[in-house]
This record gives sequence, structure tokens and C-alpha cells, in this order.
Amino acid sequence: MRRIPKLTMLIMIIIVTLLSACAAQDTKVNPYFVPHLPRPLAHERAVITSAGQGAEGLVISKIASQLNIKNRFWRKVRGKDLSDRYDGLIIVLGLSYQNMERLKTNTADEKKRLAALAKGAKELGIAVVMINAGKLYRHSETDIMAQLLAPYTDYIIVVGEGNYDGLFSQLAFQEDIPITIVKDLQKIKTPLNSVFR
Amino acid sequence: MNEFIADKEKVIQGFFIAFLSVLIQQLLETSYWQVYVKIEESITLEDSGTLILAAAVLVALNSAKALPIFVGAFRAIEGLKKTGGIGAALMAALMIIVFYSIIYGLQPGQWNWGVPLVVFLFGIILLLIWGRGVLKGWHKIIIFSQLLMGSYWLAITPGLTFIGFGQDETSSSIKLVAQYLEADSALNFFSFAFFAPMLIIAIITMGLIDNYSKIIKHINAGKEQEKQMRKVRVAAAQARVLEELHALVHDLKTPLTTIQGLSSLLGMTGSNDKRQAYVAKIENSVENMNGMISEILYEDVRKPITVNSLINYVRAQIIPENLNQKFYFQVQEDLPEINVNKVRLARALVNVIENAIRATENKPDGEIYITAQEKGSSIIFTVEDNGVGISKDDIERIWEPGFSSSLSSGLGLTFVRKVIENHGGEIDITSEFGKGAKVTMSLPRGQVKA
Repeated sequence: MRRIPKLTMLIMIIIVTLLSACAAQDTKVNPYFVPHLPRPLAHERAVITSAGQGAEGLVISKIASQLNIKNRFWRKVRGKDLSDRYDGLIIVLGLSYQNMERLKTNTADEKKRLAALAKGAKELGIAVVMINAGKLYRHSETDIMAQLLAPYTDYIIVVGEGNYDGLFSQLAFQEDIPITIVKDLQKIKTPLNSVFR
Repeated sequence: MNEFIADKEKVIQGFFIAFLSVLIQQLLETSYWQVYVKIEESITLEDSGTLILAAAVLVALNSAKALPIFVGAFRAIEGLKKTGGIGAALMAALMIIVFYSIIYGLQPGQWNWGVPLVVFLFGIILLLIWGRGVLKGWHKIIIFSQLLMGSYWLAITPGLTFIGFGQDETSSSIKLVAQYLEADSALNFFSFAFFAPMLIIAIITMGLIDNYSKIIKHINAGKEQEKQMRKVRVAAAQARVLEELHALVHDLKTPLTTIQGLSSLLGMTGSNDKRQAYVAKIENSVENMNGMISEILYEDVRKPITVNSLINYVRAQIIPENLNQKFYFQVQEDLPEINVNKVRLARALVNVIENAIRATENKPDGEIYITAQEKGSSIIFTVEDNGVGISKDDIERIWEPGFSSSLSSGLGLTFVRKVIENHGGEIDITSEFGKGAKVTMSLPRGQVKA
């Protein structure tokens, strides 16, 4: 009978140790995972573009409009097109070779455009938000684009299992960017709304 | 390689058909752009109807692109020695993978193996297991069209994304927009509503084709049976005719015996020289007629006769159909006597000449050449005309009992061949349709008495 409390104690110590280890792990990642931004990054007007010319950009533009965020969906916006009229730049990762061909562009041109765009936004003090619409919309080319944009990005929003391999959390950790992961596209409204005042 | 392939042509045809998918892919390039236009329209208008229309266009384009691959793959395996084994299924799978990889390579972002796998599996079940050997080219086109048109809806079913369906960029875009329009359930419903009926239609089509093939097979078997029955009936009729003829000819002997007996009695009733001479002639004629009857009744009865006498005997039996027909007889001089059944052989020659007469009866310049000559160790008889000739199809069937290009019984040439072969000879017919025919009959030296 005496041994039972000792055994119970031992199990409890193991559980507590494991939980504290998990908690330590959480505290290591947690600062970047936020349900939404605590304070807005921009005032009201945003430019929305698609990194890879997928239909995702237009969808986010429509969602932003539903949230009364003034925005312009600009397929091929370049760095020099930005001005102080805009204080937010939303780049939606989504690759479509078909649409790129239709719009007479390609991945190399898109990468060049995005790099210049993000750099231009930074120079003008425009907040850059990067959005991934889910695992289905990940592609090796969009991953490269995400890495390219990360140094200029102020906030990352990922839908569903878009961060299945930890790419976006890793970028958030490396570049010290807050990141929000939402369950589905409809849940994107809260973090997106939190970007604008 | 030849140990696996039975029909190279089918394999090459299969690869050629499958290659058409690459050309179709190139032709449909701009049509895919229209799908994006429709998708963006559905986002702008927030209209799920437009989205479903975009999905339908995508399904049609993907099906059109994939159809030659499946039809080609299943055509190619028809050329294998074992068309229904695992080897055939593997070859079809390999071809499908190769050609899909080519078109996916040309159209990056469209990689999607879920639907091809479903269509392949149903293709194996319907075409290779159920419909093996009964499907024609257009049957495959119909069934694969139905399978593809149904299965490509699975690629845009949001509920099936988790098992890998619709990972390609266009299907993904449609699903994302459906999510945005909160039309996931509607798209799930529509996709299933198209997939299930198309699959059922494909199965029903397969059943109908199978039944149709069985009916055709049954009809063909019936036709074949009817053909055999006809042959048997003709053979029976021929046998009956011959039997009756035999009996009839045999019956001729009875009055002949009476004539012979009575003429003998007549000869004994007086010594009138004239009467005696007439009686002798009657007896001689009776004797000849008796011989002829014996020759008719017994095939093996042979008597020596000169070729000239035989031809004259034949000539006496020829009745031209009209006055325009010209007959040319050419018999080589000094031909030896031949030991034949005169009555039967003459009848055979007359049959052949009568055919020539019928063939030239409507010709204003109908000519018939009858020749007899010695060649090597044979005596060759030929009957040549410039009549209507015999068509290529008919010449192959000319020896079939009952076959006739005219309204006759069709037994004539069969009888001729039988008589010639009975004499150890050979018969051959050559003809050019519309220009005439030539019948060559040869009797070997062995049958000829020098």
C-alpha cells in the first residue's frame, strides 16, 4: 500500500515535466501566433494583388470589400504604381499558370514584380500583409515567393492547413512577423479586419 | 516484343489516337483561359451559377483532352496477344501515365491523378472485363466520354479534396470560390448529381452494347445455320434428283428389252432382206441405247472414243439461244482415242457450253470457242466465251452446290467437276467480270488410250 502513493507521485512528476516542456515549447512559438492583430497596421486604403495570378487575390479583394476596407484589386501592380494614397498592400499567394499565360506573364516576371513591389511598399511605409488561402494553394513557386516577400511582410494570414509543413510559422519566426492561422476562408475576416483601422 | 504483340497495327493506332490528346491540349489552351474568365466573373458577380457553369466548362475541356488517351490506350491493348490479362491492364495504365505526363508537362499546374485513376478502374471493369471482345471503336468513345464527363466532376467536389481529388490549379480555384460564396455544399451536390448519373449511363450503355452484340452474334449464328441448312437441302435435292433419274433411266431398260426381244422375233418371222436389214438396225440402236443407259447408270463404265467423235457428239446437243451467237470448234488433228464414259463426259462438256451460251445470249457479238488439244500428258478441253463473266465474289463460291449466278438449279458445275475428277482430271475457271470466262478441263494421260 505504501508503494502506490510513490508510484502515483512518479506518474504525476512525469506528467508535470511533460506539460512544462510543452508549455516551454509554446512560449517559444506563441509570440508570433496571434488570433488577430492587437492594433491596426493601416488606415483604410489597400492594394490587393495576387502572387502568381491565381483567383485567390480577387476573392480576398471581395472579402475586404465586404469588410468595408477600401481596396483596389490590381493584377500587375508594380512598385512604382504605389503612392501615399495606399497604406496597405495585401499580397495573396496563389499560382495559376493558365491565368499567367492569359495575362502574358510568368513566374520569373511575377517574382521580379513582387520583390520590387514589396520593396517599394516598405520604402513608402505601406503595411504588407501576406495571405495563403490553404494547403491546396501552396506550390513550390509560391513558397519561393513567400520567402522572397517575408523580409518586407508585416503580417501573415494562413487559411486551413496552409502551414502544414511549418513554412509560414518559420518565416514568422525568422522575420519576427505576427501570424494568424484561421480554420477556413470565411474566418479570415477577423484577422483581415484587424489590419485596418 | 513479337511474343507480346499480335497485331502491330492496332498498337500503333492506339499510340496515334493517344497522341491526339497532345494536339487537343494545344488547341484547347485558350478555352482554359475562358474558364478563368468565368471564375472571376462568378467572384465579381458573387454568383454560384456562373461558378457551376465554369466548372461544367472545365469538366468538358478536361474530358475532351483525356478522351484520346483512354481510347488510344484501350485500342493499343487490343493488339496484344493477351488482351484481357494483367499485362494488358498494366500496358494501358503505363500509356495513360505517359500521355497524361506529357500533357501535364505542357500544362503545368494541372497535375491531377485522382480522376484518371477512377476512369481507368471503371474502364478496366467495363471494357476489359465486361465488354471484352464485344466493343467497337465508337463504343469505347461513347463509354469513355460518359466516364470522363462524370468523373471529372469529382475533381471539383470540395468534399473529396481531402483524398486528393482536384489538386490542379483550376479545380482548386473553383473550390476556393465556392468556399468564398459559401457554395461548397451546392458544388458537392452538383458534382455528385453529374457524376452518379453519368456513371450509371455508362454502365447502362455497356449493358446495351453487350446485349446488342449478343443479338448480332445470335443473328449471325442463325444465318450460318441457315446457310448450312440450305447446303444440306440442296445436297438432299441433288441426291433425290439423281436417285429418281437413276430409277427412270433404269426403267428405260425394260421397254428396250421388249423392243430387242420383239425385233428378234420379227427377224425370225420371214426372210425378207429389207426387213432383216431393218431389224438389224433396230437391234444395233437398241444395243447402243443399252450402252448409253449403262454409262449413265454406272460412272465407272468406260469405252474408247476419239476426241473428234466426242466433240461431234457434244456438238449435236448444242442449241444456241439466238442466231447472233457464234460457235468455233477447234480440235487438234490426230488426237488419240480416249477411254471415257462418253455420255457423262459429253453431258459435262454440254453443261459448260450451256453456261457459255447463257453468258453470251444478250450480247450482239456473242462468241464461244470450244477447243481440244494434247498438251504434255493431258488432253485439254477449253470452253471460252466473251459473255458477262463472273464477279470476283462469285468465282470463289462457284463450286458450292446450289450456287448459281443465274436462275438455274446451281448443280451444273458441281456435276461437271465430279465427272472430270472421276476421270482423274482437273477443271479450272478464270474470268474477268464483264469480259467473259474460260473453263479449262484436262484429262490426264493415264485416262487416255494411245
